[in-house]
Amino acid sequence: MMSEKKRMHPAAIVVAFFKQLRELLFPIIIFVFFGSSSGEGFFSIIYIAVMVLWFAGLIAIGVVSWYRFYYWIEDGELRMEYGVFVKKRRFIPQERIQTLDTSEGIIQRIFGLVKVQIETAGGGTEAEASLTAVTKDEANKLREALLYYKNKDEVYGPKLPVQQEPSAEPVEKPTYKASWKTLFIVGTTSGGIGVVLSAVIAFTSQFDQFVPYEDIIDRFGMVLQTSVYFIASIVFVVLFVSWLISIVMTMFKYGNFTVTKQDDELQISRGIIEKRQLTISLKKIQAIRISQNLLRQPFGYATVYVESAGSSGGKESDFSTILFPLLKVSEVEAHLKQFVPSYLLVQEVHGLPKRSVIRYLIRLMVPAALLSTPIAYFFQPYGYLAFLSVVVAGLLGYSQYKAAGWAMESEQLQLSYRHLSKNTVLVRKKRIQSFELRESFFQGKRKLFTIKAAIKTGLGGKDFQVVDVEQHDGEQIYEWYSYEKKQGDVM
Amino acid sequence: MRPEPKQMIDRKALSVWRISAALNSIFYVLLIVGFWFIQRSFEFPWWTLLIAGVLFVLIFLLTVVIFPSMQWKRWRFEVHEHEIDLQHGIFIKKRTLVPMVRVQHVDTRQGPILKKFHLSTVLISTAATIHEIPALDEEQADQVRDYISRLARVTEDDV
Repeated sequence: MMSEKKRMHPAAIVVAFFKQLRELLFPIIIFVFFGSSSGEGFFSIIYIAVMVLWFAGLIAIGVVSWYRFYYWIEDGELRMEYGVFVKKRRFIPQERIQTLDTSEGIIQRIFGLVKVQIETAGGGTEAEASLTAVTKDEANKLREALLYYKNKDEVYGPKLPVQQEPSAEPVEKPTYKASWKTLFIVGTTSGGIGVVLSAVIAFTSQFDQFVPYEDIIDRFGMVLQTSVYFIASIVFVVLFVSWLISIVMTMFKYGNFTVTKQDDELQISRGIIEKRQLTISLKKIQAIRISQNLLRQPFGYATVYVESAGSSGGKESDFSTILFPLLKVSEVEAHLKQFVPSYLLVQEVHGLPKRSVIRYLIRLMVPAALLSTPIAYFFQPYGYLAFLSVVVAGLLGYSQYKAAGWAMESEQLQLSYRHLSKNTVLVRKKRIQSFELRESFFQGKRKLFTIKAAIKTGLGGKDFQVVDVEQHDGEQIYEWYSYEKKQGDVM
Repeated sequence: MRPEPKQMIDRKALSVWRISAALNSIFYVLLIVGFWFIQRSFEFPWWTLLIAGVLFVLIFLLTVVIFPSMQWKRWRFEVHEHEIDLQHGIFIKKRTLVPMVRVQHVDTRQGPILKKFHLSTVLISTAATIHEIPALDEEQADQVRDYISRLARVTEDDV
């Protein structure tokens, strides 16, 4: 099937044109500005001619590269042939394909088409294959042919079970849909720093009575006073508006967020203006990460990410893919069971020994104290307020200590840690690329270990680590990870 | 837990590390010469130069004499049938376990100094990480490389 060479839909030319245009936006703007101001007589003609040639060139390149681009499936490989002057060929074996995403930008939607991006485990930020404009039907055929390679005979045989649009299938499959309310909460709690900042500014401006702002400002004179208030209110408005914008953007980006589990694949689709659909095979999942940022944790909400080995095409922050944008912590376990059954969220986590707490406190409080001492010294008396940061550091250190922990299942390791957000990572033993125990001089004295597990992700690897674990616990995990139960010296 | 790995890296690694640390310290010498000019032209007190000199001697002693031998004593490795066990690190002792199934490929590498001493570095790459055994005798390095690569091939598994 599909072994004849095919071109993409001609709309690919339009897509390529606009993409080029967007990339060249900056030079074009510069060109327009400088061109038009000095554009008189002879120069303006040259200027217009250059512009026309430029656009004509873009279109011509678009047409030719569309004309020269072929793709087809042969011998279990996706093959592509392209290149204007130099003919290039790229063959991607099905077995190597990690994910196949479809997305619809505005242009694709006008023509009723989709963009298909195919990613392998190889590094790099670009998708290995990107078909910018194909019909939905074609995209389904590609998915069918490339992702269901396990049943090779069925797929290539004539009795191929043609699969309809995923949504048209019977509704037995587990499906998760994020409601608008959920997305609104996601939006309001995601812009972390922005929200906090505007809240802080709003808060401090209420403190007129207690803090003699006036006195401080009087020293600098009236002019500065008005401008300080002016600037402060402007800053506040800007932050607030950007917060609102970020909420709206989140709603657009994650609108209609749907996850469907079909056989051993997860299909994630999202987006209002630009629709994206992402297919991840359960077997390619490297880890599951449950993250609670500072704003979500008090309300008991968490975000669940999938760490997969594809490259970065459809990925969000840190190259992880959002699986569930927002769940009540109590619902996480059930949802994981339903969608990624091989991952189990263990509730009884082994915490850290009491003697670790001092190390967590020192690690944050000492730098805070070192930084705030000179501030306190040079900006008396208000500089002493800097020592508040030591308190904040202490609180953060303590909550990092409380958050850290680990748990083991027969085939799975669970690590919890906090930098600012609390993260819980579930990794299958098979997916841990290497495991490390670290012991600094001081840790050695206190019989503590740092445990560190590396997994593969889109851009190389990623480490997850828990600091200051009981030495005995570390050894236990080391033994669990070791493939060799008996001592076998072979060299 | 399994006792620490038994195999040590080649004793000549010490000389290699010392030489490369000594070469690095040329950079510090240049810094000091630069500072000497500054000190003269801006008339900084003479003891600033003295401090710089003392710092240099200290860094030289640490990186050329002390660190290499600490490093060498700490470095252990062992290649088991199913995994590679590594231990290294001066101030932070790291014990790393790399299962054979996860090994993607093994390389040996040899820079000019290593070559002079007939040593090689073995690099073990997984899909996510690269681990190295810094200095083995050329012949032994080749053996280790081939051995790991053979074992890694036997235990085939997907990413």
